Amino acid sequence: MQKYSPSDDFGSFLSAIQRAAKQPTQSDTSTRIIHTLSRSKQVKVTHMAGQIKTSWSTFNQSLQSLQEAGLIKMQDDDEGGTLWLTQEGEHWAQAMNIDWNDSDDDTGEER
Amino acid sequence: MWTEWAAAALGGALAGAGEIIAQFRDEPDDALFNLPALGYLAFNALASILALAIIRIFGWNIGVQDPVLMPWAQVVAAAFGAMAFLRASFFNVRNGEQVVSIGPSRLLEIVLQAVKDAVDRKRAEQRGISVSEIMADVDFERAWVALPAYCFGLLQNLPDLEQQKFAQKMSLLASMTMSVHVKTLLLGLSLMNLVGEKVLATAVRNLGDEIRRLPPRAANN
Repeated sequence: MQKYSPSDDFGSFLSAIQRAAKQPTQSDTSTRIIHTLSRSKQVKVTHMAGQIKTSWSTFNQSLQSLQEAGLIKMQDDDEGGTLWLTQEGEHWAQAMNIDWNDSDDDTGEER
Repeated sequence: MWTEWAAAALGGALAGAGEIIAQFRDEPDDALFNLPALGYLAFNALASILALAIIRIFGWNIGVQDPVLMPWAQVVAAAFGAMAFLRASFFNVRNGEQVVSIGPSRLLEIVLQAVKDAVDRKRAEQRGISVSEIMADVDFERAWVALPAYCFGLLQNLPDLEQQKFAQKMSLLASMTMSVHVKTLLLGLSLMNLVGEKVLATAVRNLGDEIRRLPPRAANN
């Protein structure tokens, strides 16, 4: 049985921040994934890839980052998987809506 | 005696309270003391009372012959019996990747989900106001590493995995294209989920000017 082991305060957080800082970021792609999921609830991975219009590797890395951050969930199925926002992802999307409402013209997407 | 019925109700209510506290670890008192959550506790308490009534109607003595101890043995059996019955499932049905339990636990799951939704809605408004107030003068660029690290330092027992997940979240947030105000609110919301409102407010207050927005310099100076 796995034993619960408390961490030493905040060391893991700082180490993980340093590791993440060395990785390339896909900020815009991640934002657009959250944006799309907030409007459609559940989206097929293949459909999302078509909507996001970015390289496959960037798309994959963004999905991985969002999953690791606990903002989205992915369920594998015969059609390549389905994506949806976690509860915290929904909270983020709601807060981010403030920005999207202000800058809809920039995204060029319809509501 | 009424104390026995009250004890059975208390046993059921405590089981329900445990479930709600497990769901809302950041602010358990807020989650417990609202109408939907109290309804859930009452539902569990009533189930225990019903179980005690059934035990007494059928005259089950739970193997205890002592006339003083027997009523209390019935109370314990009613509290645990109701808890077990409400959380039992007769069989599972697979619906795609999802496994659905069929039995009394299904009813409890539905009620618990309704409570979660209601509590979430109620708390969303309250959390939004609290985060806006606490994070009002906080500068995201100065706070996104220092504030979580300080909060985790205050908590002392946040598991490594949670810390790493939070770091991933913050790195993502820092790199995202959105206004600094929204980033600051999201930093506050995410931290509040983990450490609670009181710890977040204390941390912001203690860090003070270290994480506050710098006052704009006068143009003429």
